[in-house]
Amino acid sequence: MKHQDVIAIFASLLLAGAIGYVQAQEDTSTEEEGGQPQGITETQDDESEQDASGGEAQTDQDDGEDSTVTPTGPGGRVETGPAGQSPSGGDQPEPPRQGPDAWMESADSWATFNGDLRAQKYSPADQITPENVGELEQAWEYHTGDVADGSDEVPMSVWSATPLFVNDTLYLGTPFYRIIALDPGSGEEKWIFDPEAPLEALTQPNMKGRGVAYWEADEPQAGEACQKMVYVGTMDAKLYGVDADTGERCADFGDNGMVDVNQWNTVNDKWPLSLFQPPTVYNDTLFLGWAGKDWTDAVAPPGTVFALDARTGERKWTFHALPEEVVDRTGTANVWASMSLDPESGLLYIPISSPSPNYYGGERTEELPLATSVTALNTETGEVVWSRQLVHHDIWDYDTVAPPTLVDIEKDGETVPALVQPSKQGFLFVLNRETGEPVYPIEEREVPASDAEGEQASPTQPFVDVPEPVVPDEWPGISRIADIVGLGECSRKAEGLRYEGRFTPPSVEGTLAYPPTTGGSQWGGGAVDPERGVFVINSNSVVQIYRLIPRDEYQQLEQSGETGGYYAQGDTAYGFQLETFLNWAGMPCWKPPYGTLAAYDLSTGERLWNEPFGQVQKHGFYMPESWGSVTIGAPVITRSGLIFIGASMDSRVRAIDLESGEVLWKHLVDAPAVSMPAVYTYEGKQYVTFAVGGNSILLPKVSDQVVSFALPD
Amino acid sequence: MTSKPQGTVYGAWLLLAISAISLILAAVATFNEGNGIAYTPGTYLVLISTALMLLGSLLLALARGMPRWLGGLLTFLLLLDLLGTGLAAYLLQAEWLLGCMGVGLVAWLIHVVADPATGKRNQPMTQRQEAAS
Repeated sequence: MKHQDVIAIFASLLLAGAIGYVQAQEDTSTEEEGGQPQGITETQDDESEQDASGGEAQTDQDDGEDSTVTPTGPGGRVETGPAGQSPSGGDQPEPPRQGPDAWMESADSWATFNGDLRAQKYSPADQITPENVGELEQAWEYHTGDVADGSDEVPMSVWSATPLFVNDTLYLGTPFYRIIALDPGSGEEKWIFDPEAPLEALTQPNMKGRGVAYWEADEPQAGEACQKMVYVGTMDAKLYGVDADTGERCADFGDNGMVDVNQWNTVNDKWPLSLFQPPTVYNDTLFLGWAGKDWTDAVAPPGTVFALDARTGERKWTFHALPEEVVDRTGTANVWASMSLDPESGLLYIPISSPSPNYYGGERTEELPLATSVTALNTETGEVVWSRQLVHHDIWDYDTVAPPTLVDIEKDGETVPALVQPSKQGFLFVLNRETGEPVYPIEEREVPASDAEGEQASPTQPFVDVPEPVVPDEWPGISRIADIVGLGECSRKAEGLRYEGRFTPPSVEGTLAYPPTTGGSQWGGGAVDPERGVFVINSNSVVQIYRLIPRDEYQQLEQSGETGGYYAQGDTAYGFQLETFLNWAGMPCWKPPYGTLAAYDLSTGERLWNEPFGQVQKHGFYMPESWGSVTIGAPVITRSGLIFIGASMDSRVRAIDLESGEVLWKHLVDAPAVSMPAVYTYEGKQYVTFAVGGNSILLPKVSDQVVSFALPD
Repeated sequence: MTSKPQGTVYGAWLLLAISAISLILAAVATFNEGNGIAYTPGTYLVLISTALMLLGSLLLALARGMPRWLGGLLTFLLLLDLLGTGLAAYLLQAEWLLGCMGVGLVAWLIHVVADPATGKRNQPMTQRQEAAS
């Protein structure tokens, strides 16, 4: 018996379901939504084929604003607001401005959630190298004070903010929706803005926040307020804009510095449009998606993206992902993850999630081509330029979950303007970002049919072989150790489940789902070194059981008080049970590794390396490194050939060699760093700064720590 | 009735010292926030196991007149404690505690191999010594 097996047996006996914390999702319902039909690539030129009324703009004054509604793309609509340009009609839309905002492109800064608009998560900084990273030490530490472990009236905090470094200041948005401005070299406080937002779980069960966004006028007027602004959203759908130098509200932005985004929540408004993800900022415009409450309702607010004037908060346009005629039976297909944007072409790339209800589509059987898609919008008008559906008739909650990474690929002697779209289902879709056409083949393959009454699962789904998926095609199989400890429980359970490979539909008897809603890849997405053409991404290998519960049986369960792991899905034919595949002791029934980090050569699609990443920690005990860890967060790459990433259960942040995948440096922090770090250079010194917040999905461990690392002087 | 064995039990005393150090290390691991393992069931476990180790080695070093079977049982339980705490320390990545368990095992071996035996097993020698005197 191998050394690691011995450790594993002992450890496993003590382990009470490390991966089982993924099941906390059942109580946490990640900020996700659902998705739908046919893999379609559409361009603006094809719009006339989409809808008989295409191009016929209709006036809509329902929300008290003058607006026009124009069909766009396959099944979408765009509503032009008072500050916007109509995509059709008399006024000729201005072409999108060429090039990024100047303030955003400084090599020293980290000015957006993903480091830049292209979601490359790449820093040209090269002071810290693979040779000297071992000397990296803590430069400073700061605690925001905005943390809750759920033991009192404030729900547990989940903090996934990327710190922004711009305007010689480090900006943080907390899970209590305060904005904190720090000195980037010392961590000293400059100012704090507190919107005094309600600390209540209005949509998500936790207080969640992914930070702030920054905007700056092209030519800021000295001495004039709000020429530079910082924005933070709240769970109750308020968007605040404050002066970036003082933290004072910007009076001209909305109503004294606040825009109530919920004013546009007019259809199926069962809960507020929670603004966890900071807006994408480009060309004096804020692009804003939202998150909601998953798995509870069948009919939910339908997915929208708003474009607002960065100075005033006035609405330019609203993009609707679902056709009007289906919103009495479904909803969501919203954009809760971050977006990317090509500043040269002015195209906004949005990852659209799945429609509601997430695991049963019997009452939304028509094609909803924009759901679970990656879609390119014209930033000026909100029109669909092209869209590609990544899951047809999504009944697995496979939301398109992360921003596509935009990168030019050298392939067969040509430069291809590409994007890499990660997915929960584990595929990496590499597309031409101008047309949506595949750079590497996407093949429609037959998939199993549903046996649930009323369900009409799509007969085919898109598959990608190159680049190799981040998780294997087949589920990993039964863990011998877990099965021994469970006295054969894992094997017996697996025998009773339906599993016919990827895209096996949810079923009444129970379906073994691999990968399940946890991914594959998650909302952090990947990072790219545009010079080397290497893409890096962390991913999860988790097995869950999807079980449809007939409505009458579900009601009986409800009456008996059984609620853990069960979700209503409105009043559709089936409720739903989500269960992570564990034995009685809480051990994962499938073989490790549970999480990996992989690098891909984008010019060939070849996977360069794929290593177990992080360590599972349970009851304080660290499991073998070869098991890896479920991760939430994202990597960042530097020009010197380093990857910086937190994300793992073991509350460590790491520096990894881009060439080999070898861990070169690691440091303990207060909780899992479920965010991506900011890499910036201030006064000639390179810093790597992590917001350390924790996430109950990984571990019941929370923190308010901000910690910055640099080389010694 | 047993008579007191003669000679110094170096192994037991070394084990006692190691146990005391281990208990301190376990307490630090348990209550020192920011070490990644503080206030976890794992650290509480090693806190208890090192406390028991201290108690056991104290008995081994000082209670020299205990019955032979009790001494043997205590020695065996101390071995389990050392191994279990060592494994827990390894999984907790508490290197200093793991090191202590290594030294503790050496001390345990010294005790088993070289220390004067306890209890009845020493009785004949004691009688001989008495006769000689």
